[in-house]
Amino acid sequence: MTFEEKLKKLTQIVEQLEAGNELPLEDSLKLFEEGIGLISSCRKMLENAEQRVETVLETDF
Amino acid sequence: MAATRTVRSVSEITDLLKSLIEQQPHLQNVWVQGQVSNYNKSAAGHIYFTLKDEKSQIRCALFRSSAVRVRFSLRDGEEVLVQGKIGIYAVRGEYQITVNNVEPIGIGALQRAFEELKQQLADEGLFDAHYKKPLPAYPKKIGVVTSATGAAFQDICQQLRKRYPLAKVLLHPTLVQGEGAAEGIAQALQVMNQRDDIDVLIVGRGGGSIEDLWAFNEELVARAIFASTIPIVSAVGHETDFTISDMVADHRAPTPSAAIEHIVPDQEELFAQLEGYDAWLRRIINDQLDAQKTRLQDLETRLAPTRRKDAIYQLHQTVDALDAACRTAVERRLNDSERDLRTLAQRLNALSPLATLERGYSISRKTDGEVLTSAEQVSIDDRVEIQLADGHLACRVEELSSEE
Repeated sequence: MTFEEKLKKLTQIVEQLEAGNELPLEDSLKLFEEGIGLISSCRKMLENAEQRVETVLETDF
Repeated sequence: MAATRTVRSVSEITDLLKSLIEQQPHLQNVWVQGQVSNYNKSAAGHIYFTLKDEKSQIRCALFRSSAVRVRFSLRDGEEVLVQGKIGIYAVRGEYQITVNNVEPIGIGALQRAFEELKQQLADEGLFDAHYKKPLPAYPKKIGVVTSATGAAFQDICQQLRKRYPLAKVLLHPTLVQGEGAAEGIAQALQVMNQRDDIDVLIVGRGGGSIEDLWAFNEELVARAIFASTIPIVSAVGHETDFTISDMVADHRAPTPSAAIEHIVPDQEELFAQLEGYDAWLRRIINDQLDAQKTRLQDLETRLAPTRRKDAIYQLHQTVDALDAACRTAVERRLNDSERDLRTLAQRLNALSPLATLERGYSISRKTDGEVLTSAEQVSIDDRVEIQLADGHLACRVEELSSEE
């Protein structure tokens, strides 16, 4: 997943948990774990990102 | 003695005058003001016109190499200032100005060209808001069209490293000023648009003079920006520089590094946002766990033996209460009945013949209990019982008489 997709998924999970009082506890816990996992992977993506610069290889510009 | 006659050819004279003129430094760089007439542009791109005032006129030649630098359209009747050198056009034996530059009087040449193009493109709708494309929220790859060696690209990379290093950069190096810059920028934009991995483009350069920034006021660049299917941020020069590119582009950034602020989120904010999500998730799940715990405790308490005993006592109490209520109700009912009975008895007593008997009357009955109301009911020697108020008499009939 890209960073953006992860953030989107994370937002969905938070909303689902916020809304779902009738959600079975097991499901809530699963969502929670998934959310925490996404947070830490998003953090890692940002922390480990190293700028990558490429140049268009054109013979004449 | 006749003077020696030196005969010269026409060309010699022309060459002589030519060299005389060319030896005069002040004629090699002149500024001349006048009105344009006989404007004519050749197929090769050279421009010829006459500059005149009330009394005189001078032929002017503006060759193509210089003509491309003239950013406004020359017209007959235009009052202009030309800069160039005086020379001789030998073929016609005419002197002329070889024009290096032309400026309109009153308004700067570049300013004039800028205004003209701006008006034209505005009329065509190239600046219309509904053509502006939104920027992606989290670009994966940013295309940059600028000089590889300029400060702009360094600023962009530095700012991106600081804010959002997740985004990759693809540089298409190009000239950004001077001859061929506009063509280079336009072509780079086209090349970028042929790719499918670029989420957003930055086109621009660092600060400079209005001439340095001029490529970004060229129609070619404006049209290449307009044609782009990838959203473009134009970032030319400094805060105060405003170019045609800025107006056509989907977004304008005051400087190249500000362009990065436009198009990527700040990772500090993202970290804070993630922190917020983390806290919020934990709170939600803890709340849910607490709620379940409370529910469990509640059920547990309700199942506890003491609570059950309590419940039994309560039932006892209820039964007792009902019992008492029953009794009271029944008693009241009995009392009521007794009272009713007494009342009835009194009423009955009032009607009883016994009271009459007390007043001296008596009731006579035959032995079978039949009450006697007529003498014809009995015969001589029949036994008759007479009831008095306080007792009975047993009698025998001795005589019968009838009243009638």
